[in-house]
Amino acid sequence: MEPVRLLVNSSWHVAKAAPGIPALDVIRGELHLTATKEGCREGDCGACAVIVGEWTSGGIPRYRAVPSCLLATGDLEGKHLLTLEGLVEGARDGLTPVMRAFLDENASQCGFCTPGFIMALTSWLAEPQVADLAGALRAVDGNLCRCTGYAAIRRAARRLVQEFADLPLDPVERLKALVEAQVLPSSVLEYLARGPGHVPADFAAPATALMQPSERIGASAVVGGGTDYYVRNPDPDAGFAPLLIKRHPALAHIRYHADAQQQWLEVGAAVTVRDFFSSPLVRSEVPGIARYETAFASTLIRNLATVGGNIVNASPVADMTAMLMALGATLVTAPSDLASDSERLIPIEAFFLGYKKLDLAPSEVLKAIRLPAGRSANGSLQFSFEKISKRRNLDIAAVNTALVFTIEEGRCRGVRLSLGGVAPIPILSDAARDVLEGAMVPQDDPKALARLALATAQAAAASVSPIDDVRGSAEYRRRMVHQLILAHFVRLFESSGIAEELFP
Amino acid sequence: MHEAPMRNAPTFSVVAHPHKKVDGEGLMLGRPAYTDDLVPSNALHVKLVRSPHAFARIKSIDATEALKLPGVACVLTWKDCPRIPITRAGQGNPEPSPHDRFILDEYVRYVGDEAAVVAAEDEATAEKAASLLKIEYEVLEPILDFEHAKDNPIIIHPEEGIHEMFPIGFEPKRNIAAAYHMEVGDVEQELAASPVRVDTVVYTQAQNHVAMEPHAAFSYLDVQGRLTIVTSTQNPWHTRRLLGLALQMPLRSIRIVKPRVGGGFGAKQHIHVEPYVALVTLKTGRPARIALTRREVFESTFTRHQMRVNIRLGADPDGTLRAIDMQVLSNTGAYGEHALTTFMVAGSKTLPLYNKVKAVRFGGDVVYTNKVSAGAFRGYGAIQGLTGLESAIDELAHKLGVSPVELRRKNMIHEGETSEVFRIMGEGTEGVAMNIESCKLEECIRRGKELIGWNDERLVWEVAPGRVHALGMAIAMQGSGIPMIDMGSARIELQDGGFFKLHVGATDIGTGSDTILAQIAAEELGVDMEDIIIHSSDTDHTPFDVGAYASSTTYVSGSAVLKAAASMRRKLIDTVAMLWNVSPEDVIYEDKAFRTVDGSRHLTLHDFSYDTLYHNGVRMQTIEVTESFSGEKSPPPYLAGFVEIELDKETGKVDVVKYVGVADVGTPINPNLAKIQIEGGLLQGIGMALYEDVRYSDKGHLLSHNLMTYAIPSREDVGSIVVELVDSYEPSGPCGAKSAGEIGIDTPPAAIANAIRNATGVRLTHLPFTPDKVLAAIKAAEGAA
Ligand SMILES: Cc1cc2nc3c(=O)[nH]c(=O)nc-3n(C[C@H](O)[C@H](O)[C@H](O)COP(=O)(O)OP(=O)(O)OC[C@H]3O[C@@H](n4cnc5c(N)ncnc54)[C@H](O)[C@@H]3O)c2cc1C
Ligand code: FES
Ligand code: FES
Repeated sequence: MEPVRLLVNSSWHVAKAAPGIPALDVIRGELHLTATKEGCREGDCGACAVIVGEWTSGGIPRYRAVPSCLLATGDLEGKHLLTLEGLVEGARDGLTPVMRAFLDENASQCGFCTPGFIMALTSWLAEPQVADLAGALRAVDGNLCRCTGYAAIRRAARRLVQEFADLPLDPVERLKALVEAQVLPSSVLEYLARGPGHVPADFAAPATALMQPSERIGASAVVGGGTDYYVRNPDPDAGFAPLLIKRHPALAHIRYHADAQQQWLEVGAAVTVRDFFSSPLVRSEVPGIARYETAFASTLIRNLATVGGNIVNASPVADMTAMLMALGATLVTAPSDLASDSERLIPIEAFFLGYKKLDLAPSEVLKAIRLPAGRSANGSLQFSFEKISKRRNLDIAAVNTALVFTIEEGRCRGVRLSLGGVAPIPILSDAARDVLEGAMVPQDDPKALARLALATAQAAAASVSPIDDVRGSAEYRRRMVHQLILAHFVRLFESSGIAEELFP
Repeated sequence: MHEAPMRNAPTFSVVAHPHKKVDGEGLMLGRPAYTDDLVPSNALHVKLVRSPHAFARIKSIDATEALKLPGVACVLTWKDCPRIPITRAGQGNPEPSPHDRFILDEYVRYVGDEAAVVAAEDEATAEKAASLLKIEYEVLEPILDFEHAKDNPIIIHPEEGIHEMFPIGFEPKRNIAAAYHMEVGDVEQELAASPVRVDTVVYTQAQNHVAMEPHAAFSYLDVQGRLTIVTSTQNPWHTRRLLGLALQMPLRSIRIVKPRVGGGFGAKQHIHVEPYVALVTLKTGRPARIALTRREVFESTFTRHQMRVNIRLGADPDGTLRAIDMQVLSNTGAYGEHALTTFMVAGSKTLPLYNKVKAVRFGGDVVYTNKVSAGAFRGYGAIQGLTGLESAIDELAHKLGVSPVELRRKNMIHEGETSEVFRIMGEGTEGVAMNIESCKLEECIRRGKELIGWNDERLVWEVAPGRVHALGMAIAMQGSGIPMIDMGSARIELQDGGFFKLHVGATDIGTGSDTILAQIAAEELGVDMEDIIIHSSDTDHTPFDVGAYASSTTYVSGSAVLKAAASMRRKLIDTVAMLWNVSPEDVIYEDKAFRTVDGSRHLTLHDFSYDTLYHNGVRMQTIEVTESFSGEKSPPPYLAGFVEIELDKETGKVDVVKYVGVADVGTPINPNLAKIQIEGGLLQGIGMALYEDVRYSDKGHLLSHNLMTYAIPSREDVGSIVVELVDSYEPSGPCGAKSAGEIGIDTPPAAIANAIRNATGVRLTHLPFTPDKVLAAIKAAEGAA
């Protein structure tokens, strides 16, 4: 097990802790950087947010905020870890502009949540996109504050939007501009100058290659983004060295793959939820999918969580699973050395055998997810996702569902309606398919459309037998299935007048 | 914020200005400031072993395996603790809470109750050792339903030696922690004679504080062998006193230091963690540290008291309110911290709102159950009582067919009036008669209506198929400290250079009280904010203060600071007059300098500070004053809350589109900080109304034990929150101030319940109003129709 080497603020560091230890413990315990706070150790509060700088596989540098309580230290190998202490290094008036906005707008009361908010907003500025208020507020959707009521934080965000409306959109130029503006420290320039070559040659540590997955065959545990793993295992043993999925470049791609039968879009298991939704390939294969990104957790969690982890975690209400199931995904599994000759292909709905039971051997990992490609070509692929939870975000669904079909010659084809939260595993609704498959889609007859929606909803709701739990009662869930399916139709046929028919 | 100058109020130069928080920049930079940032590196790590059972007797604890683990320093059980009943409630002396708790006991009374203490060199070892302890329990049948606790054959506190400090109705053999009853006039007769009556019930849930900083403390022995505890507390002196009792130590050998605190809301108005680190340090001589996990905060620190509030109102057809009967059943959980007082406040800080009734009655019991103990929480009973009362008032408006706003205006309290309730009901004791010298509720309501766009003819409207918007409102009052019980003090000392040290016992828990107290001192001393160096809450180094609770800091501690600053001012003038051999009347102190009336002599404060400390020979002296303040009254702040909700009739989901809170807090010493207190309070109240709920399994296991299963509002959940402060000046308050800490939280549950009633025609009775409950109520009403 090689030690993890990383740039911490402005100096390189060899972690004493094992690669499987959450980075928060290294930051507060080993590095004594106490600005990073522990509010929950479960990814919910954002007080532990740090910014991680890295070179993407495409050779582009990027800086993103993640919750350090769920981040494996090993995933920081060769990366740039920025904490609040590091942001301020060299700032002219002692505060960065983000801190200044918080101070001036009184956006900090007890102050315990403040470092996390500052990291999240700083990371948002570093993203190569036009800065607007909606984006700023989305960036802090994973940060909780119990004191302020968020009104003052909103004011601080608004100020930053005004101040930084004209940052360059080129990733490198933007980072440089932010260093110039003292939003980011000059250590970012050092990291940029080094290029994707990772740790400095003169750095006093064994210059070993990246850990190979093959070394970890039989490793006791697999960690993807860690957002489920560490919630369940918050205090791993001191020497914890799991197989870190994100350390393998071969699992991080999104690209086309053709086999004898058809063309697929292949998404590596290590792709983050964030990158999945941002991918132009995903967006073109599944038109409209981007709008559902924010239904999933929070920005901080999406920056960390992997698509593969969502599936293997086997939660009956996993959102990516619900979407991918409706999209007809096939899973590619492989032994943990990733030998391609032992790959297995499994339709996603066959992967779930029982509550948290999977068709996956302990020696196997999930390698990739394949989506049938080419269905959006004639613009007929219909995709809708809905979920019900207590809060608007940062909440696991009580019930979720996705609906996919194409319209061919006026009829529904390839209908797949997934349901989560109504059984021990996520399921496809046969009852809904039986109603819809082949049915005429009366696009300009709202009454008939409404009848079709109701028939589908009733069939699906009648066929499920959910249970009571903390997220909702059985009766409530059944009703929600019904309502969410109606919502699919309203969403897909927004302009048809179906809403007025369904909810007079 | 109104920019208009305040009527009959003096103009201020430092007070009533939005100064930045004195600790703002340091916190922004993430400087080590909170308890767990400051722990000595050689501290032992303390872990508490918690009961897995809702009610059980510990038969034996076998620590052999745990102690064999390298790095384990000690394991402590109830046998290692003095058998002294205490309360964990940080309250005045004698506490109105029963002494019904031992630091560690043979019995455990809820899942999460402390069963043993483990300390080790590092956290991982401590956890490992905790898991190796073999504890044998005799599992007992618990009581989980508070409506069946009283006189249940299961007795939660059968043990000998527990007691009340003065009569509070403590009857442990009946599972009653406290009880109270009062009546003015003849309520039954008045109700019988009232042509219009309503009878309502509201169940308010247990709520968690969720301060973002989990409870933490560390302890060490100083060079004199005294026990120092650095802790995230709201009340250093109560902590010291209670610890002295619990550990049987003289108070002189304990020092409590409060660093920055990451939010309290009442959660830290108790001793939760301090006794355990203290025990370990005393046992081992080593520094010891504890920081609760979020799960432990949920499982083992306090909640808001769950209550059932029954209200009966009687009125004349013209809307004149004749009688109010409020009967409350309160659930204090396993121990009786704040049992009596939260329950009494349900009446004492709500009933005076409608002070013109001919008869008013309040009473009920506070019962024990095998759930997490309830304690102090912002709103402290008032929010529970008010949710009941303001729901009932709205029902009355529906019954009478009148505007809910006008019904309130007709019956509510006004400036210059009083209420018998003030005199009769205090916090655990008799109250204090009080005339209301500042009450701008009328103005709060007028402005609130404007901001929300209130229209009695249009309280609900459709925005989309199946989705409606609706308005609702409620009014509220709180107090400003506990009269004749809360005391705060301040010491001011002139330093060379002409600046002042201000030492206060008042406890800044993130509210910004250090800042506003410095503002008050700077105002009175005629200096800049930078000239006041404030140091707070250290039992060795600052004067006494009861702590940060009961909305007392601005009014009580602020008055102490104002008094001290005024005395300092007099003392400075007297001293200079003496040096100059003139009468004090002839000395003018202005712009940080002294001069005689005739202009013949002049001396800057800066030069005087050097003279008095270095140059004046035998007349050299430290210029220092200490003053204390205890309130003779507790002037209420007021707030009118107006809400616009969106309700989805298909899913039952309720969202707050806009919440308007217009408050009368007297002079806001720091308008920004006062406003943000209220904004935060409103959101915490919205959380209570819509999302937050402490839930248990049928075995008494906590189901809501993390931030995912216990949902507090995130930024996405808030529509717009609009807070305004109306011009007001409280003659008895420091610079005209009252309080702003609690009043914000009170109205949302009632206002939102009233909006849901307007939207659906259904009165929801069980908080929080989650989609499944809203939907079930709508369906039930449709079924009945
Ligand atoms: C605050 C918060 C909010 C959340 N909100 C949502 C939400 O809205 N919707 C939702 O669906 N989920 C949500 N989650 C759950 C979680 O974020 C997702 O399930 C996420 O996709 C898991 O991915 P991960 O990479 O972090 O998984 P990990 O925690 O790394 O792994 C999860 C499990 O899968 C295994 N595993 C991971 N990758 C592989 C692989 N390639 N091969 C084999 N085994 C593997 C791990 O061993 C582990 O058992 C939330 C979590 C948090 C903390
Ligand atoms: S500590 Fe709360 S998100 Fe990490
Ligand atoms: S300022 Fe206290 S939690 Fe945000």
